[in-house]
Formats: sequence, structure tokens, C-alpha cells
Amino acid sequence: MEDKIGIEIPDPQTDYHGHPKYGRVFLRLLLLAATSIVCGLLFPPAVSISIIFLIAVIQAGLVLRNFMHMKYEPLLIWIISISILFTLFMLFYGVYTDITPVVREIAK
Amino acid sequence: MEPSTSTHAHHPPQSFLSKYVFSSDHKVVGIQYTLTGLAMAAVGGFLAYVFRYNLAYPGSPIPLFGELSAQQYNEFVTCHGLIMVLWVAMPVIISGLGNLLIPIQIGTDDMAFPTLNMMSYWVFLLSCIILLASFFVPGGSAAGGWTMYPPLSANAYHNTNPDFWTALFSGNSLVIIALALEFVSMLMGGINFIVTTINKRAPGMTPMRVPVVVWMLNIASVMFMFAVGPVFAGAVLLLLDNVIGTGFYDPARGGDPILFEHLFWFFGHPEVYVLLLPSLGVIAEIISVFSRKPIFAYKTIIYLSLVSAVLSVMVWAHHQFVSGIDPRMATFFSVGTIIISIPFAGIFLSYMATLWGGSIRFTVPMLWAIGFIGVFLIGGLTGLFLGSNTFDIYVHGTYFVIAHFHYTLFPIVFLGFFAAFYFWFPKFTGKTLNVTLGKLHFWLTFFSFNGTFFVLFFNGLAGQHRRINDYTLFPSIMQEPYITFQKVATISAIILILSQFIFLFNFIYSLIKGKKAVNNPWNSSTLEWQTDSPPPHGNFHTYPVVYHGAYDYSMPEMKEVDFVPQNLPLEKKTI
Amino acid sequence: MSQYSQFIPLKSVPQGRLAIWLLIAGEFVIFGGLIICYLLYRMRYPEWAEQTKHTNTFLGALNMLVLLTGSYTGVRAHAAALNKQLNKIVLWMSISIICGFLFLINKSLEYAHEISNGLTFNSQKLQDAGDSVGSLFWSFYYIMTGLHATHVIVGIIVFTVILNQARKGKNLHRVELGVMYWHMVDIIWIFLFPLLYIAK
Repeated sequence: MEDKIGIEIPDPQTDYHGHPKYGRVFLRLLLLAATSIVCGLLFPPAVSISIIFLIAVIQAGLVLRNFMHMKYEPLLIWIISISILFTLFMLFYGVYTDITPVVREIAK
Repeated sequence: MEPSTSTHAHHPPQSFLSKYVFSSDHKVVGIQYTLTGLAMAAVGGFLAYVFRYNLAYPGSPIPLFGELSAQQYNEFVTCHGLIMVLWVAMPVIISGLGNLLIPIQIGTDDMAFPTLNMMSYWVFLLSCIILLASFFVPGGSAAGGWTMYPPLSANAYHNTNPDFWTALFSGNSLVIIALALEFVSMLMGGINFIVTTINKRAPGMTPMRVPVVVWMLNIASVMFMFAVGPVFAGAVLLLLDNVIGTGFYDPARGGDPILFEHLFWFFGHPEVYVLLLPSLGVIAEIISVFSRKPIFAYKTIIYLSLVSAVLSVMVWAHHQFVSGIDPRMATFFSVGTIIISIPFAGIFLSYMATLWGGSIRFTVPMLWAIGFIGVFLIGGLTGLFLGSNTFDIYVHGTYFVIAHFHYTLFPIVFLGFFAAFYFWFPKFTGKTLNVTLGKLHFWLTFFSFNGTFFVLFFNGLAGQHRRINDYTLFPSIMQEPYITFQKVATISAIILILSQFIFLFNFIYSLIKGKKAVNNPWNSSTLEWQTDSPPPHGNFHTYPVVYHGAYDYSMPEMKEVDFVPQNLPLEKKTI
Repeated sequence: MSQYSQFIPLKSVPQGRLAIWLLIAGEFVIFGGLIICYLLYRMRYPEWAEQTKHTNTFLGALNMLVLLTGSYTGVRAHAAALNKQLNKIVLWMSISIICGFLFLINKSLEYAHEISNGLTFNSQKLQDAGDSVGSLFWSFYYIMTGLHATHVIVGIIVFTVILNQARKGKNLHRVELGVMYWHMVDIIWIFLFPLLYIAK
């Protein structure tokens, strides 16, 4: 394949620099999930929600970086991820004022 | 590393079915997309003819159709918009051009995933069939405007509890299903384009040697991929509202119809740039070839289109200034809209600069390309008016908007497509088109298009609204000269549609009787012209290695020729 | 090879993996759009707190555990595929598939419980109680979890197909692609779980 196309594309079978310690990552994910449940029970909603979402972001980061090997991926993949975040942020920012603060009369 | 000499990794398919119908060859898929798109354009054009005639001569029976009821008028304008934007522009400009051009211009044999490519076409064809079927269900097709805003598009709110199957096979639901399938197909195609361009370029084909049109197609695919997600979710929600009676957009149950408007335009506005960029790429190719000059500021064009891709997700709500959105955000989107004209102005300037001092050849593709620049300029400038929220409030929903977006989308979809068609026809069919008929086609299309839509600017400023089928009921708005203007628009539109038969005749006649085309009739330097016309299965007899940029025309150091093929392994000084 | 490497500003990845990354990007935008719609309405209607009490945190957490386990066994299968240990691939991928089925069973138990309590997308019970926006929460609940469960079903089918090929030693690189899809489903659940089950 490399012969034919002549640009540097790593072989899917060999291009990893190594494997993260999957077991340890798995345990961390479970611990974080347990923590978020406990937080939901212990703290008042305003406090717990921010903690819970912080934990969700950390968990997603762990899965992306270790299980999906994003930490070994080239810049290209990071650019794609940042574009997603930017797109979704713009959607949230643009729509927020028209949905959330507006309380329209609801027909009873 | 030596490039391998054999390209035929697998043998070309032999039987008719596997060669022309269920083919995974990128050229065949591209031609299938283009022809399907043109067939849908005929449907869309016929719908346009019917309601255009009705607007000029309300109440009188329409030749070839008969009487047009008000409900049918709504249906026809809705489906005209949907078909032209999503079932003509998308397959012709993105999928058709992308499939035909990307592999061959980057010097490879086929797409990265040929089977996925074939599947994307068949999913697209299925969506076309579902859309056309929606005309024949009881109640007719969707009639709530091409933007499909609920509650007009959600029959569940005004019909009293339709049962599941009736709701599923209503026009509204079928159109949404067709739309979702079309998005799936385009996503499959887009992933294929991006992977192909990133991973399958010929040796030496660095990113800055890739032709502009391939760059543009890829940027457009990325934009489409990011913009389509929310509207995909939004369409699913609308479908559920229709079919099983949820209340996502129903204010009576806590939903909000403005959410759909946001989700729709979050996709709908980038969609315009998704279509615009590949068309601009085509124009770049043609202008450079027929001015015999390198395209001016190649890198800047690429960077500007990347900037416009980023900005394109920050402008969408300028379609909603009268929907009751927050005025502070309206200002934000207004400013964004005006800012996004800067990258496109930059791209246009570099096209002008390419023409400047070039030795221009007015071949048929060049006529279409220059026509594109002229017409799109009017569309772009009126877009600036509409981007300003203070002005938009006055003309929203009038013929001014109609004229504006036809002045943008018509050049993008049709002038851009015809430019590409006349330019690449010899390459992909091996036949030459008739030049006189081509020029006649151009001039008729150009003048009748301007005749159709230029007068509508004045009708719009006079306050005529687009969703009203019979203006004789409003004599205070429908006075002279606006009655005449409506008739001028209609007659021009009929000429516009009729002049496409010249194209059709030229197309079929040249396919059968046309002269055999030479491999490089335009003396172009990009890779597709360095192989046979039509290209063989696998595109190249030997895989090309790229040594030059895509636009090396008339370099001062060249001695004997004014262009150098990208795969010529020589220094520019020696040729 | 080396004479061309100077031309490459961005290192690429194998084409299958690149396509899966793009697919994942597309899916994230779709689910992101849905989640943003839900969040906007959630902030608009504080009274939805009434409804969130009825979601079953225990079953949700169990599903989280099941999906994470499926992900973990998936990466083990991927590691085994790199070493061409066919038996291990079969073992780990089968566990992942079982996890997928467990997830679906849990989900259907949950749905059955909620529907039998009259908490549907068009709930007459909530209407009668004078809560006109409550059923919108359940609409979002069913569409988000339902779309996610559809992805789990697709994941199971993909895993079965890949397992069947990998068992014979064919297309081992596809193990990684299937597993990446599974991780995507997992990440979506990581966000749905706090949204629907914990934030009460």
C-alpha cells in the first residue's frame, strides 16, 4: 500500500508506541462513576451538578485518551475534536438566549 | 521508492450491471450522482414553472399542468426549494464533482472506500424516490415552506390524533425521512472524500499542490459533517412529533418551535457555504487555465476558505431576525454575517487578480465562470443588506429575499455546474461538445436568469410577500409596474427553462456524434488531463508522481510551452 | 519513502481509523445537538426535577458499569489483535457482546417500569396532575436513551461481524475499528448518565 500512495501512513498493526495500562484506567473510570453517584446523593443540586459534569468530562477524557489511543494520535485528530467542541459551543451560545430564559405562556 | 507500474489491482468489471449500475468506480458513481441530480433539477424546474406561471397569470389554467390550487402552490414552492437545495445542489456540486474529481486530481485510482461510495449513492437514490413518492400520498407533499418550520410542518398539531401509519405516510413525514436519508448518504460521501484526500494523494502531491477545487470540496465536507448533526437530531425530533405525537416543538406541551428554526439554520446557513466553496473551486480551476496564469494567491484562497468555514457556524440566526430572537444575539449574528463576507471578498479579489493581465480565452467554460463572478457578486452584495438586521426586518419573506438567494444559489449550483460540465465533459466522456450551442446556452441562460430575478428585487422592495399565490386579492400592493415585473419574471423563467433543452440536446448529441476529444484539450496542468479521455479503470496507466504545483502556467522561466503538467519530472527552466 | 516525507505537514493515520474518527465526530455532533436541546429545556423548566426523581439511578449505574466493562474487554481484544492471539480476541469480544445484551436487558427493564408507571412521552397521568411540561422530559429521556440503545444494538452487530472474521484470522485491524465505535457509545453514556440519572 505504501508503495502505491507514497505518503506516510502507519501500518494499523504496528504503529502504537505502547499500550496504556488498561486495567488501571478501567478502575479509575469505575471509581469516578461511583464518586459522581455519591456526590449526587450528598451535595445540594447546585454544587453536585458542577462536580458531576467535571467528572463526566474527566471520564470521557480518560476513555478518549487511553482506550481510543488519542494520546498517540497525530495533530489531525486533535483538530477534529477541537472543531466539534467549537461547533457545539457555538450552537449552545447562539440558542441559549432564545430557549432558556424565555418562559412562554403554556396552554393548560 | 519507485511507484509501481501496474494499476490494475483488481480487474475492471465486465458485465453491464457491474460496470454502469452497481459500480464502485468513482467516475461511474460521480456520473450517477450528476445525472440523478439533473433529473431532480428537471422536477424542481417544472415545479418552478408551474407556480411562476400562476404568479403572473393567477387563476388562468397553466399549460401542461392545469389549475393550481392554493394548497398545491404551497406544496410546489416547498418542494421546489427542498429539491433544488438538497436533491440537486448537494448531489451535483458536492457528490458529483467530488466523486469525479477528487481521486483523479490527487492522482490515485479510486476512493478510499469504493463500496461505501456506491452505498452512499444508493441511499441517496432511495431518498429521491421517497421524496418523489411524497407527492402521491393523500394530502400531498410537505407544504410548510422549504424550511419546514413547525407547526406548519407538524401535522400532529392541527390534525386531531392521526393514527401512526397515516402520520408516517403523510407528506411531511416522508419528506423528513427522505431528508434524513440524504444526510446519511452525504455523510458517507463526505467521510470518503476527506479520507481519500488525506491518505491517498500521489507521491509529491503536497497539500499546497492540491488543486483548489479538491481543497474546497474537503473543507465543504468537513463543514457539512459538523453542521448537519444538530439538524439531524432536530429532524428526528420533528419526525417523532409528527408520527408518535411527542411535543418537542409544541408550545402547548412545553416545547418551542424556535428551537427547530435554530437547529435548521445551524445547518442551513453553513449549507450555503458547503455549496459555494466547491463552486468557487471550479471557477478557480477554469479562470486559471483560461487566463494562462497561476491562480493569484493560492494559499490565501485556502486560508480564507478555512476562515469562512470557522465563521460559517457563527452567522446562522440572520435568517431568524423576525422570529422573535433575542435582539442582543441578533446584533451578534448581524455582525458575524457582515464579517463573513470578508473572506469571500478576498477570494473574489484573487480571482479578479488572476484575470488581470492574463491572456484570456473566452471558451465556453470561461464564459460560465465569468458569468458566475458577475451574478454571484450581485447575490453577495444584496446578502450584505439582508445581513443587517434593521434592513432585514423590512424585507424578510419578500421577493427581495427570493431574488437575493437565487442570485447566490443559481450561480453556485447552475453556473458553477455548467462551467464544470463544459470544462470536464471531454475528459470524462471522451467526446467534444458543440461550442456554438454551448455559447448559445450560456447567453440565453445568463440573460433569462437575470430577467427572472432582477425585477423581483423591486417587487420585494414594494412589499410583495413570497408565500401569497394570488396577488389580485391585494390590489394596493399589486400595481403597475409590479404586475408587468411579475410577467417579465415568468416569461424569462420560461425562456430559462426552455434554454436548458439546448444543453440537453448538446449533451446527448455530443455523446453520440461528438468529435473524439484529445487528452488535454485546454492545455491544463492538473493530473486529470494527463491521462486518457475517458480515463481507464484505475485512472492512470502508471501512477503519477507530482513535481509541480497545480497552476504552473506561463512561468517566466519556461521556454517553449506555457504550462507544465504536474507529473512532468523536469525543472521548469528546461521546458 | 523518505524522499516524500518532507512534504507531509500532518502525519496521517490508517484510512480505516481516520474514517472511524470522522464517523465518531459526526455522531458526537448529532448527540451533542440533542444534549444541548435537552440542557436548554432542563434549565428552562426547574420543575423537571420532579420527573428526574423517577429515573432509576441504580439501573443507570449498572448500565454504566456494563458499558465500561464492555469497553475494557474491547481494548483487551484490541491488544490481543495486535499480538494476533485469536483465542483471546474471541474471549474478550464475546464478553463485550454479552455486556451489550446486558445493557439492553437493563434498558428494557427500565422502560417497562417507567411505562407501567404511566411516564410516557405523552403522559395522560402527568396531564391530569396538571403538569403540562413533564412529558417533554420523558420525550427527551426516551429519544436520547433510545437513540443510544440503537447504537448499542449496532455495536453488537458490528462486534458479531468482526468477531466472526477475526476468529478465522481475517481483518484483524477491524477489531480496533469496532472497539472505537463501542468507546464512542460508552462516552455518550458517560454524558447521558449524569444528565438523566444523577442531576436530580
